[in-house]
Amino acid sequence: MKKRKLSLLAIVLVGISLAWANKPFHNTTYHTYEYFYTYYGRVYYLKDLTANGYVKGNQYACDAADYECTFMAFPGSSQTDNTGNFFWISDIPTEGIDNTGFYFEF
Amino acid sequence: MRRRLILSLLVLVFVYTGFSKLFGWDYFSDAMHNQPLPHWLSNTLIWSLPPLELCTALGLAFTGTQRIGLISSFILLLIFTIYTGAIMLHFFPRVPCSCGGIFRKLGWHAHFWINVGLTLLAALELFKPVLPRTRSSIPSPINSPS
Repeated sequence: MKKRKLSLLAIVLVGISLAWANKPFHNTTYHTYEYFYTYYGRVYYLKDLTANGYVKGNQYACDAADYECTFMAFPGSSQTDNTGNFFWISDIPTEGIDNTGFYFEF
Repeated sequence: MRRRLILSLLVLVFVYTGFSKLFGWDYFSDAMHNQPLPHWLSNTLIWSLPPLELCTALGLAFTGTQRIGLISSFILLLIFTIYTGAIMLHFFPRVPCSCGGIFRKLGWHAHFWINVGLTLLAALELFKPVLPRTRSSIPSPINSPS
């Protein structure tokens, strides 16, 4: 009985530790992007998503179109676009892009 | 043995998900407000989900409340599974972030299949047939140590 209680306590502690270790970053800067696909790969645009009605914290939102997604990039996380490609937010350039577009071969 | 393994896994999952919401409260709150749900429902879930998950873990942990814990975990997991399935099938106008603890690093597909697996495990334990005790399982007073 005592052994069972100890193993249960260990499971609870592991759960709490994992939750603590994976807690979200504080003061994360969200970058707002839009992208679509071209022959060259993904094209990223900086975009003011709040003007489009998105609320802070929204990381990923695909519009109905197959080639366009808008999202706020949370640097610590990964995403899958709606073509099934997996990518890390950290792969997205945070400099050198502006609202005129930037070619980024993915 | 199998029962203990399933219960331990479910306790771990609910402790982890409950505490990860508490540790990242602002993040969780933002993420909930960005789900394609009515705001009143998001607000209700923000305050009810973490205590529900932790109560479920507590229920699973103690022998006397294990059945209630199993029912609660099955219902919660089934709702999560249906929700992730609906997201994947584009039932909602947009795809929100799949954020929540370790699952933050996974997409909706992985999230869905993990939920399916956990729901099946909970169902397996909850709906397993209760077999009548066989003669051999009843301790014999002759063989029992006095």
